[in-house]
Amino acid sequence: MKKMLLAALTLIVGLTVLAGYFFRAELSPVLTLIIDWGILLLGVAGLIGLGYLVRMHLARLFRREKGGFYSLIALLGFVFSLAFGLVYSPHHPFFRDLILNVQVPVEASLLAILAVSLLYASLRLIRTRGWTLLSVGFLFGAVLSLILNLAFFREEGNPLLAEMIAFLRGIPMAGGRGILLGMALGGLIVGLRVLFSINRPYGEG
Amino acid sequence: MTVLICPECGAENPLEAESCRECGASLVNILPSEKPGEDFPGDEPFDFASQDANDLPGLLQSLKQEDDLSTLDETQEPSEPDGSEEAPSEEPQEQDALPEWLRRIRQRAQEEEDSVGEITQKIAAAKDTLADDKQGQQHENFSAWLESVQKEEKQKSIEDTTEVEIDGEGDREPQPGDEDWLKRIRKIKGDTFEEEETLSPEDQAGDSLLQWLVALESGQATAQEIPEVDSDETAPEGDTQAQKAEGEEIGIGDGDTMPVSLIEPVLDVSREEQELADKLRSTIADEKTARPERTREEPAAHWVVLLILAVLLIGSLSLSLFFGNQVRMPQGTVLPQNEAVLDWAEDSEDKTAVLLIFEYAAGYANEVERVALPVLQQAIQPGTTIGMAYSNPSGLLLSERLIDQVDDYLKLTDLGYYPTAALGAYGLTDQTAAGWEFIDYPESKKPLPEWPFSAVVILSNSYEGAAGWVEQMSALDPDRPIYLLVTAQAGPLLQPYYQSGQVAGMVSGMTEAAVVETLLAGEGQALVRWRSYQIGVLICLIVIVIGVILNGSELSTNERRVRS
Amino acid sequence: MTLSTLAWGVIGLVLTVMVLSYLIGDNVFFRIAAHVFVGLTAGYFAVIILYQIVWPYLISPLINGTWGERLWMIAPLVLILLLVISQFPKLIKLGTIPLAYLAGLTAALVIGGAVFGTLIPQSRAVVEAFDPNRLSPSANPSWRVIADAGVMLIGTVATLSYFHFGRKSQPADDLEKTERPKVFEVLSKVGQLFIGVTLGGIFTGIFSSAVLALIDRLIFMGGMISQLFGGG
Repeated sequence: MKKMLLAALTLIVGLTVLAGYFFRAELSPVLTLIIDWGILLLGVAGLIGLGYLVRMHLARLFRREKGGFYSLIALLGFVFSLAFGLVYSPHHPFFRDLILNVQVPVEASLLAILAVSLLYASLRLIRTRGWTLLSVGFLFGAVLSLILNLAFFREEGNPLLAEMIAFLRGIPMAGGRGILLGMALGGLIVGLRVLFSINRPYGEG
Repeated sequence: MTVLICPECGAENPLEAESCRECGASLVNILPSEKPGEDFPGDEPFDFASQDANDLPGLLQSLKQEDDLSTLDETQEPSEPDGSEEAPSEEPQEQDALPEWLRRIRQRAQEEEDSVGEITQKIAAAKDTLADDKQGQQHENFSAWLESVQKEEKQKSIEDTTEVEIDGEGDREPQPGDEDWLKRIRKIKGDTFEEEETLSPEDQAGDSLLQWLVALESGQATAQEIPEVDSDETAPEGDTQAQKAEGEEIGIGDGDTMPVSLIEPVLDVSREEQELADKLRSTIADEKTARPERTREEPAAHWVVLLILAVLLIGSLSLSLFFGNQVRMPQGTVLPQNEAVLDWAEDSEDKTAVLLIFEYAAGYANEVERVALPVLQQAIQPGTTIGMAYSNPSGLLLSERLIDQVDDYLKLTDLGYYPTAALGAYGLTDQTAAGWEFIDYPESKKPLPEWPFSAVVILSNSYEGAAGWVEQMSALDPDRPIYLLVTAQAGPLLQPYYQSGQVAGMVSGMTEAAVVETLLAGEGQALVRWRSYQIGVLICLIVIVIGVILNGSELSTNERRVRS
Repeated sequence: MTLSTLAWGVIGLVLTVMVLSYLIGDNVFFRIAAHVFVGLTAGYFAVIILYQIVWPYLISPLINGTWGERLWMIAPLVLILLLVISQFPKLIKLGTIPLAYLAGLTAALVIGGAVFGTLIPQSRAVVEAFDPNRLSPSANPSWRVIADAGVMLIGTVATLSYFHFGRKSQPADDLEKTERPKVFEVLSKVGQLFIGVTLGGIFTGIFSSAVLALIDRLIFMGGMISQLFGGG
């Protein structure tokens, strides 16, 4: 019985949202309600996720496990930013400087490390997978895009070169469109399975 | 036959294969090796896994011969086949034959319930169950049938002894009435005996049950032949008959053997048991197969190469940034999608209200700002209303940082944070007021956007985020122009949306940003980075080519070696 | 440069060096920087959720709203409570109700986005590439437009074939049981090539973004060092 109710809840919510693509104006109040509640639930789910992160660090700290010192740092950072943000609002200049001057350098530096790692991966591009159609295509696509990114060619006054370059630019898009369609088909099938409770990601009740 | 064995999943692949047909792993550096279980004819795939023969008691039944069943003997019914009294089942004799380690394990097993002891006790319990089954005459009919088959085969063997010899030349045609498994064993033995002759006694031990069955089937061993319990002995090479008749050792692995005391004279082997014995044998053979070793580079070598590349990249970029001429204009024509953005930015059309979607992480802030700032500075005039929504939590602060650089005199409306792009787009897209509403539904939420915005500009660092907004907004409000100002990594998969007309224009990555900035603002921040960026891309290109030359030639050498 | 700007700059410089030190191996400085980042970011995310979602959608109507508005908040409040108490192992089943609600909502958005946002417009774009008006806008049609349309069609179909794993419903023999139909087999080979080219383009894009981040870090570090030691 409970399974049926859950399936009905999923179906009703899903069909209403889908109907919104066709009857936007007529269903506007219902859609607003559904979206508002969805946003609220997702937000609370995010808070629960953060709670698990904090609990994990607390456990590591109090059980004196390896890395407890780092957990202490993370917890101090969490408590400080949470308390400051709640007291002074996230728009406070100090809060903004604090977060951005930590987030931007750390994330950008991680990306910089990624650049070196990708360079190393470039060296072993063929070694990893061998000469297959996929790897040959990958090699061709990477080299082509890199050359085009260099923007060395003077296309002005040379229409043939311009046409050729424009054609080459379009090749990766063909596969890209296929990938998009493939993902959309996959998403459609999974969505339908969830909607009709063939798959129940929320559990069995 | 030599095959390539996948180091990842163990699947066999033909020599010419470049990747595993099962898991797709590369087989390029894999050396060929002898096919495991080669003694199984290729036209008879060893595929017992699909058969319903996985009864554990059956396996235990076949394994029961390994151990002392003196207690069972004491309780055996008189109806047991007559060879039973000849079984040398005296406890001391067997104990003498046991290795010290096995004796210790058994002793411990009687005292403890954990680890090995528990397993051994379970096996003992299963044996008891089997003994009960035996009392129930479960296999008696089958035994009688096998004996009759054996008698028939004996008569045949007299007529055609040479055909049924198991010395490797016994390539006998299957006889009508032969059981499948017997045919298979006969075929196997016929094909592989020569190979077995060269095996060590330990290697041969794994075949003992099969050899015995073949000998039995050919009439050279009978159910009445009672092997002597002498687990220390191993059969001499090539003397399979003697091996059958004496206590055997089933090889478990290299060096480890399990003594087997053949006590039961009765051939109590069902089809299931035979198949399980075959499985055991194939597993042993597979375990013994020499697998090609992947040559792994030392981690230190990896680290050194990585460090060299890091120094090369950082050094080159630093030199190009801090020395020499800073600015160099990019060549090339303006792409159509860039042209559309330029037209929108420079056009004097209505831009009194623009919706900005912030969908990028802090690490990409610099790149997105290089892409977006020239466009936004050109497009957004003082007094323009800017609606700001974000589906990345960092968007709140990043939007403030960006808007600060655009203009100080903008009317800003914070439309808030949406946990997912699709939800945000669905919720934010123009919602014409319905003719009805819920009574008292709270109005004190975030402000709704002041539609109509003349355009929607999405700033993103990822395909997924931008696509979530584009898909929903283009579906719900197809006439609203959407412009994408995104990073290079998001560009390739977002281009189809421009081609399909869902997106009115886009600028992605450094190259396009430099071109757009040159056309809109002359020299700017993007151009400062342009030359270094070119150097970085060039280094990547050169490294790829070097990698292909080094590894490609290495592969060619390896392939030649494989072919030879 | 103000003292505040300089101080934040120094913090940024130190964090950058700490993270980049990972290039010479995992070390204590990298871990400290990573945990500072994780802690502050987690706290910031919590603040954003509380300020941008929980307050306007739940707390504000409950505190400032009329009784009628408060009644409307009962349902989401119950859903939230179920979600929260389902984190206790014994009450885990209660969480299925809010999760079922979210599953329905997300599934519908995925379906709508896939169908109306991708499948229909992208398929139409493939077909429209062969529109005669587009192919020959002038008397002298561009070979590139024709080639573009052809490549787009082949690439799209071949890539989709690569994702096709169907088998014949009534296979004639064992081979047909295990292998794809020949036409899909051939097309999927071509699809592999196209997918490879696209992935190569994505690889270049990721590398470009990463290199640009490195360039920005170098510019930032150079600027800060010159500020600190070169007097600006």
